[in-house]
Amino acid sequence: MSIEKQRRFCISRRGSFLLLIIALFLTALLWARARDPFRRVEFSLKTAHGKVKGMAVMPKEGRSFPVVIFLHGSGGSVLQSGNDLRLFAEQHLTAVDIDYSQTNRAYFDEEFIALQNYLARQKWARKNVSGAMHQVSGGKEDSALSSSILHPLFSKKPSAITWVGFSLGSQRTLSFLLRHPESRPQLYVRMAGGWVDELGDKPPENETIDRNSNSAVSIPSASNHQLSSLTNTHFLLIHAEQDDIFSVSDARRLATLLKTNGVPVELHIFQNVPHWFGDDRDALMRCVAEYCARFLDTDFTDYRRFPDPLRLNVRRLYLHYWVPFALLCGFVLVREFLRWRKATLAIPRGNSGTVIVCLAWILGAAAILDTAFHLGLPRLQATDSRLNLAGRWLIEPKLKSDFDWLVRSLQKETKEHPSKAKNKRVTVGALLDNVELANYNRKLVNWKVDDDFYRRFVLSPMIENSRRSDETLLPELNWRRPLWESFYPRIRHESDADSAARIVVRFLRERVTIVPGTIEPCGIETIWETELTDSEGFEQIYVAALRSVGIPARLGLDGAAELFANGQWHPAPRPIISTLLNH
Amino acid sequence: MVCKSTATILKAVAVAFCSIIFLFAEQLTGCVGIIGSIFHEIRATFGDSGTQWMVSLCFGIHFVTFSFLRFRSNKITNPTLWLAGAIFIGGVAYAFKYSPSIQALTLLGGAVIGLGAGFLKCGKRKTESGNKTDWGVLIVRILVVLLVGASVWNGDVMHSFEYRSKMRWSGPWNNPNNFGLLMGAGVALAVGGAVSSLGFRVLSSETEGKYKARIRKWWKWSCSVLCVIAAIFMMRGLFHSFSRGAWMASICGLAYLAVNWFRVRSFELNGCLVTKVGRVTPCAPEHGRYERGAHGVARPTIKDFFNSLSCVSWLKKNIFAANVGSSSPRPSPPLMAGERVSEGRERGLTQQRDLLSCDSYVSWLKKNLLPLSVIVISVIVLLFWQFRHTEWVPARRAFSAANANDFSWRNRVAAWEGALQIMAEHPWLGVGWNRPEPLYDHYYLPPKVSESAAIEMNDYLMLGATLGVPALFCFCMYIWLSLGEVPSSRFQVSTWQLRGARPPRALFFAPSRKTSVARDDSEAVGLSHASEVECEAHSTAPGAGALPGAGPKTQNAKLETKHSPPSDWLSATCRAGALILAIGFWFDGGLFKLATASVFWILLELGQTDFPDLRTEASKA
Repeated sequence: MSIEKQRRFCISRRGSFLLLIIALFLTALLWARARDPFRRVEFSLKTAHGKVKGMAVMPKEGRSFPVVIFLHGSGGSVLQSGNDLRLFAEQHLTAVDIDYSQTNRAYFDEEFIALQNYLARQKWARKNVSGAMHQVSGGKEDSALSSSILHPLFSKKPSAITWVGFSLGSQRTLSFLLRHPESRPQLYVRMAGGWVDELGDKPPENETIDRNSNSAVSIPSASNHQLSSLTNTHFLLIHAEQDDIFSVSDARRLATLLKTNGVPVELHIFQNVPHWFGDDRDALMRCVAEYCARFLDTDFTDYRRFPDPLRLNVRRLYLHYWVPFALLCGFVLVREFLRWRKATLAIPRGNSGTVIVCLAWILGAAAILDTAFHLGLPRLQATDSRLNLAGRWLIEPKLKSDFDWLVRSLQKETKEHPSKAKNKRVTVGALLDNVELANYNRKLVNWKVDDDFYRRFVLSPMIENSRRSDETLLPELNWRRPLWESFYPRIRHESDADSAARIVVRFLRERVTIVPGTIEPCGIETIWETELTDSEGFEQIYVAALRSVGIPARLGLDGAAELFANGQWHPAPRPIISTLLNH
Repeated sequence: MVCKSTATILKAVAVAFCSIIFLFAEQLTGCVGIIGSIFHEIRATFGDSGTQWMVSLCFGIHFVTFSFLRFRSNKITNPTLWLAGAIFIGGVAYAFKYSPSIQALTLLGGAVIGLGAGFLKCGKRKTESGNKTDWGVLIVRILVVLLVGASVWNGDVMHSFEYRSKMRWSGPWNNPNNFGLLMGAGVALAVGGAVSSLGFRVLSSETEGKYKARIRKWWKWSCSVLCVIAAIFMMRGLFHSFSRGAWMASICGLAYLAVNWFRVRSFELNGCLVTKVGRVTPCAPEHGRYERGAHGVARPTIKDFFNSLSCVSWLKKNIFAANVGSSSPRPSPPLMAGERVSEGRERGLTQQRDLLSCDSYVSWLKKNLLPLSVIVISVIVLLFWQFRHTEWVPARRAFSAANANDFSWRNRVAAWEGALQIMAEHPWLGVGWNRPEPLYDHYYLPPKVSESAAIEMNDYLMLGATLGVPALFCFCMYIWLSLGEVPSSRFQVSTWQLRGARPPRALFFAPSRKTSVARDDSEAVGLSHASEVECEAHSTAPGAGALPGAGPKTQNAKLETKHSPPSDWLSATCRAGALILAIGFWFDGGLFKLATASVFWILLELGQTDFPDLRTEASKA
């Protein structure tokens, strides 16, 4: 081959490489965009005193959604509110936050009005009146909505809007609402908010506090006329018992005041949490998001038609995006191979070359067979012969006894409940994964469990439920890996099972919605994937989540999750709230 | 003369001092006493929003100045052009959304440092006369010495890293990944230095005395031994860093070095052929063929070539023997119909030249590239399945890249995806400095991932998310062109081409009488280290491959170049070091950390081949 040809060969190879890199980058960009479940819109609002930055997060479905205006607390910013906004967006809402003025109330008013006007112009903000509005307000048209400062859309046709204020955000929004009742939302959520001046003088605490009945003794008369115009707005007040910034009594006073003025209100006070709701904040925010979604949904009365949240726990892979790139790779490889063969055709291979080719064939075949065996067998349905094969070749010797125990228990289960065996398709890989992962996790966690307990209450992927009949149980045994991947990183530094369980239940509630009543029973994998279950399903997945991180757990006689710690069984920690969606 | 050497020494000390600061600034900031307080103040100045813009402006001015000084052509193959584009976008983003950003400052500062080093390297040629200081070599040697020092560092660390109860070494830095990357780059530099001293032996000239030659030889051997020792120390550090990215990057860098070594040797062999053939004069330009001179043919055989490669003597005996064992002269090809004797002889010479390159082990490797690749991949796959549960920590660490339970790589992949999503939403100008990390943490982090720090591990995606796809493209093109040895002008040819291996079109080169070739029994012949190759650009008919663009002035002009293999080898070594860091930046980051960034920029600029511009050379002549 001439030098000139060599040179051309070299250049074209470099070009191919560059082409592949660019194609790889573009494919990855498109693939990542497709996998992104959200759409984020950054905007800035012009006001008389300057610009304000804001962010809207919504599902990427190309239609309009009910809007939730979320205002962060003191010291917060739009950049830090992302997780809260995403929790709302997961419930098919558009969540919006702005970097509002935290020091000047007049500025805030301007900014908030500008925000509402901006939202009225956006296609992604749903502007129709929802069923919830009709239900709460009785379908009354309100002439008080007209205002010169608000967008005409607002003044004529109330939007499906919720305000959620947190701490300072709740103070600012309530203050604004009382001064601009024409811009009232359908739902107003106040989290960790206090008393505002617009409500008038704060009544003495002993006059208003009635912890049992939440009823008022006296009502500040100064705010009556303002509050009477808010009867179309549903108030949800959420407060922490140990709030040291805004006293819990302020929340009670406000609830009483609203109730007295005919404003629909719900008050939830949470024990043993600080002003910021501590580590339970995200789970609580999820509950609020569910409440907002439920409230703004047109089928408010039918809980069984609860809209599925966006599925983020298990996301689709979108592998088809990579097909063009794979084809391009194949094309380039074939082209390079042909060039290489043409270029080296004249070079004699020699004896050493022949030996190397033979060796390459042998090793290549061995590698392919080995890989096919390791990757293929686990994907097959579990039969006795395949399980034997897996036990002999795929499992580590030290895990053989655990694997055999699991196989035996599965066979026993199949014999005892043949009807269940029809429905399930247990693969070899599911059993292998359970054994390997449970053992791997056992070595990592800081609490130790004896072998018998480990096998029955950690290793076993079958969660017995004494309350449900066999027919309704659809055991899905391959739940360990998705749960472990989500929960283990959060509990890795915990030293005892109890504190780990508290983290598990918080995160589980953050990721799974509990709907009131009962829904169609499904397996643990399905619950995790759909992010929706009823209270019984939640207990099941709770036990599975505890087992996935190595905490011995079971369902108790009452159907609630129990865990084994400090030498005894006791009820597992509960989430801060199971649901705000009470009947 | 004394003043000149004093100035040179002072300059060298200044270079060493700067290198120490760049590499160990973090450690120096933590020092107690006056040094610590000085560095603390500098750091505070760099980080303060009131003063940082002034520092950035200062760096910007330096960048513009160095860019102009280094500017060679306005062709798109000029790396400086792409770098200027990336820095411009970064500067615009910094100026319009001003918030103090150490990352922005590090990027700009690193570019300035690199351009300065490149300028220092190139500047020597303008003033060279007699004994010159090769600043490129000096900088590389200083870096190697400092990195060897870092590899045996045993000071306090702020935060210790462990892998399965094994301490991960992080040297004077706070991150074992950065330590591993720097060690990898150091290994490449040291190995390159050792090979340079061993492989490119300086052949004595006629005027050089025997004693002087011996001393020179001893000096080279000492350098080689020291380089090997340094490489061993740094390999030890690299191994104990347990940084998979650094391991992989080092393997790639050393492979790159090996490939370049083969290329250099291959070209040397071809150059050697020209030397031995004697004066090669062009025949009629319309034929575009070679004609041998009157010095007779003493064609180097493959045996000679392999004798020069002492390290592959075993290969020569055992593997290549089947192909290249024959050292007997090849018979001249039979004359073709209508062909004159001289033409046939000439064709034979060309064929022999082709055969020489084809018969070499490079060709052997090329022939068996596919089966060899299959063998390597198969062995890795088989080893993986066999030893994936091994308890031996290094093997476990290496295989953990394919372990589904390893959160380290899973978090990184999630971060890559998040960064790509940020890029997809802000493709043109990015989200601005300091914003990708909080944005990823709050807006893009998948629910099952609990830590967001992994986004800082990939500097390319960070750059793309910060400044947008155009800036990332400019930056990648800069790296691509810097590592790729692409001439920035059509008047520029590579040094190897100038040496006669691949005449650019109708340029024919012949060794001058000054070139003296000493041949040792155990060594192959090669061009002298300091040889001066006179090249003649002969007048050719239009369209027959005359020097493109060269007017009548350049015709018949004698071109002289003083580039020698070791200086090219230095560039290749620097490129290998830069490649290690460039790969490492994908997995572990470091572009926005002074220690790794400064070394990267310096090596990248030193690695750029300064292709001699034929117009300049011609005008000089």
